[in-house]
Amino acid sequence: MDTMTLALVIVLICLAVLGALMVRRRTLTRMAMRNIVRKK
Amino acid sequence: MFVAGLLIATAMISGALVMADTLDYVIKQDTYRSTGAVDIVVTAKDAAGQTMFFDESVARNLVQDVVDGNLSNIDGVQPAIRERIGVLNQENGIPYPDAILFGFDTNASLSPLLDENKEPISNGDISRDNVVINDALAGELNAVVGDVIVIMPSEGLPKYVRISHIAYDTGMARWQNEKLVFVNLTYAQLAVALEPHRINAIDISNTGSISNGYKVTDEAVAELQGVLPSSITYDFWTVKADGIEVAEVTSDQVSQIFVIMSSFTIIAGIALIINIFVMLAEERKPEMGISRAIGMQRFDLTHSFLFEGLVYAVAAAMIGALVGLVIALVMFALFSTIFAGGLNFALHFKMSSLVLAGCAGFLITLLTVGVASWRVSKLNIVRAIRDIPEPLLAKSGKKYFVTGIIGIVLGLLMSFSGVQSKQAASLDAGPSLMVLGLSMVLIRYVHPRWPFTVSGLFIIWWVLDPTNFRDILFGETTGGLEMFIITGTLLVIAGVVVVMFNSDMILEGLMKIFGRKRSLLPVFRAAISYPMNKKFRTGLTLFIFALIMFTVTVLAMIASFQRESVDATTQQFSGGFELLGNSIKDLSSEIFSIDVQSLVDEGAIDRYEASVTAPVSILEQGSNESVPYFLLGMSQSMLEDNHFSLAERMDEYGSDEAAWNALAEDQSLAIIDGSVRPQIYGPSFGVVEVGLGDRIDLVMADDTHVNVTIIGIMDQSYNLAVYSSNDFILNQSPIHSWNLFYISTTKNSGWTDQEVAQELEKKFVEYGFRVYVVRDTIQTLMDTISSMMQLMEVFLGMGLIVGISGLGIITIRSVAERRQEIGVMRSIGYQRDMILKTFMLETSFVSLLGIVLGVVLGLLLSYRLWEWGGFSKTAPFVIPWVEILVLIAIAFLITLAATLPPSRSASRLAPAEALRRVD
Repeated sequence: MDTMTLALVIVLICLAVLGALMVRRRTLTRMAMRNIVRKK
Repeated sequence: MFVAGLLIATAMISGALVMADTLDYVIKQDTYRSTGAVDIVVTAKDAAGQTMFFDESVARNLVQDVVDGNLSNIDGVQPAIRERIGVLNQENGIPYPDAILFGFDTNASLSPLLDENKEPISNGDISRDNVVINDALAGELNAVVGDVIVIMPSEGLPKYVRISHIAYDTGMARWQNEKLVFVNLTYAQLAVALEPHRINAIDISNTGSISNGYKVTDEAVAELQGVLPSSITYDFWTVKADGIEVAEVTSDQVSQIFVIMSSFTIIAGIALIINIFVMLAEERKPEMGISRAIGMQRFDLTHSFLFEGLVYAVAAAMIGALVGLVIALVMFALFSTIFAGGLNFALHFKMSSLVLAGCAGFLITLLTVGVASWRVSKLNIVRAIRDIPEPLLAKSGKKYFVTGIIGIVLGLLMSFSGVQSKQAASLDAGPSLMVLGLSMVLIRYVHPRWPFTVSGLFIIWWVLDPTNFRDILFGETTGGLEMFIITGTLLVIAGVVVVMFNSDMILEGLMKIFGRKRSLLPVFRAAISYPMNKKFRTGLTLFIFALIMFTVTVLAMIASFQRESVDATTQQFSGGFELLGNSIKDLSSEIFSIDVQSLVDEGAIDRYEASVTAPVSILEQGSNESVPYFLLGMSQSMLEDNHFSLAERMDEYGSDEAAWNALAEDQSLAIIDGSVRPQIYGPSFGVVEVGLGDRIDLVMADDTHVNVTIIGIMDQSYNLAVYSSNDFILNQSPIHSWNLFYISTTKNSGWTDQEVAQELEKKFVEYGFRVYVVRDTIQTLMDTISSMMQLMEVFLGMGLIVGISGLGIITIRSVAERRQEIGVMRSIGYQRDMILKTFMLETSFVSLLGIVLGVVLGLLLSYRLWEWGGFSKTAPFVIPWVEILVLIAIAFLITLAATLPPSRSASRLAPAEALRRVD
């Protein structure tokens, strides 16, 4: 496995874990998104 | 907007990788161009290892084998003669001593050779006395079609030939980027091989295209070894595969150096990310306090920040990778202006590099965001709701005590491992961590100012080590380029700590100086109260500025050392001889002295010495590996009056001259060039490591072994050779040639060194005699190195720009955060321009403090590098003030430009508007 594939896999794992968390904690996600929109 | 602050890391990595990709592409293209279809060159060597001529039938048989399908990995064979020759343009008398005669068969050529009109060169164009030369040679000789030139092969008589065409710059005309004279193979056989049907090279084209044929190089060589007659020893020069390897190694090194150097910017970028998050948290503090009060857990706050950060990180990674392209583009634009001509850079990159940079940047950002989220979520609910600051370094804080203890233990472990492995990095960081930990413990008992100031100063002292205390304690330690980053970061952290814990004193001093003017006093007080209240944020901003200015200063200093070292390096390299001549053909000192006499009579030359050189291998101690090297002889008179300086010599010789004199008397002694010494902070370009007093085993061309003792190591490390006497080489080495001349010119003789050099080249053109003006060569080299350093400065400077725009973002936010304050200030009588001045003064204060801190620390480290790195022997410690002041001015002006718009909008805020509690 070359460096790029490895990095991609790690990134995808991170995204998957955080994505799952975001789906589970919808209220928090909504709060965060509101913050982003407010403080662009 | 935050994304702009978060993308530095990604942009720098992506910039470094794209530059490496482009370089890889450019070198590979150059390899394809300069070799054409040729993948392998087969030559033959005699018993002594010299290349020799062999029968053309060897090549003809190979052609037949290809036709018969016996060689599956080879699709083309071209017999050729390539021989170094001197050329003289008969029309204008301009010599070129180092051209190549390229004899080939027009019917069997692998790459095209075209004339000016892009028509293929026919046999008629290069028959008998007609030759075709390439553009490069035409430029050197200032020749046009129809000119008569004299070609002077090393064997045989000079030939007068007429230029029938100047080849179009493509295909064979670019062979190895050499200066070429193309002739008919038969003519070449008569002119240089002096026998019909002899050749000295077979060019092989592998199956596949120009750009992928090299992949089957190993298989093709194996096939060739199977079919070539075994009566001759062959050499397989895998010309294209070698070029590809050079491209890959070079681009790898470049990407490594740039990625390592960009770690300074990445560290600064991480500090910026933390800064932005701390600021966000402070802004939302009451909100967060209320959330916590109504039942939200700390964990939930962290999550919410993390989710927010995730979105920023994804955006930053994607945009950052593209910003990297812009950085690389700017770098190459600068690169082409510095090194005009030669390689032409068009941006080339692999998608994989962008993806890799994006991934790396994303992970760095996410990790930082994670840690920052965790840190900012820790808050005291009551304090948060009331919006009052958390006490910094509270005496009661048990966690400081515990953190301190952990720091001490980690520091101890690190120092211990550093002592064990003699790693300078751990020896730098270990004790530094220890004293910082100790300070954290001590603040339980004393005012934080004292332990932290003392530990900050200690770290600076420890890292710079002005008294060489550490060498005495631990002996020699090792470290590479990573040391620069570790020392740099530690120095800047220590500097920031010292400044931040004594900021009140600095401010008091400033107040005394500027506070006298009554109208400025309120502005001044307001301007410094805020940054001093938010010490963590101010400290981080200070760190960002100081770190980048530090790096840029050190690079500027190293570039300055390189520029300043021209004189001393010239002296080291030339030993007082202004010119160095090198002939392709054996040029005996008798012939040389007869022909050079006229120049001596004219007073242009006052001394010359002829040297014998020989190929040799040095057998590495304790292994059977031998490294190819050179033996360089000096005449008795040269050894007796010799001014080459030595870096080290054995104690029994009282002076450098005495050591050289000893070589004249004792042939078992030798002196070696400086590349064998270990190098500090930089690539070590030695191929062997040899110490003083070592007895080294020299393997001569005929495999006889001769032992010599190294009694001295020279300062210069450009001319790699074992230096001994001419007599030694004549006695010991079966192969040797008289081909090196040291020439000293007379000052004020009416001749410049360049004129003498050209006159000598003209006199000895038939020997392929090239003369180098040592000072010019060294000057070019040093200029190149110092330009590279300046390029690196620019690269890091771009990080500075992104860092400064981060400061702009922070100012925008702090304006929003302080709306109410601004409203109150305006209500009690602050005028608009006073608010503007307050903000401008505040950012100027923080940025200037950071800039000055960085520059001072950079100068301190440069001084140490100057002492350690051997620069002190070749260059005076010259600070390029203009360059540094320009850097400071640029950094400061960009800061002002970035913070002016938000400051202005703050000053325009109407008091009544500002006092309303709305966002």
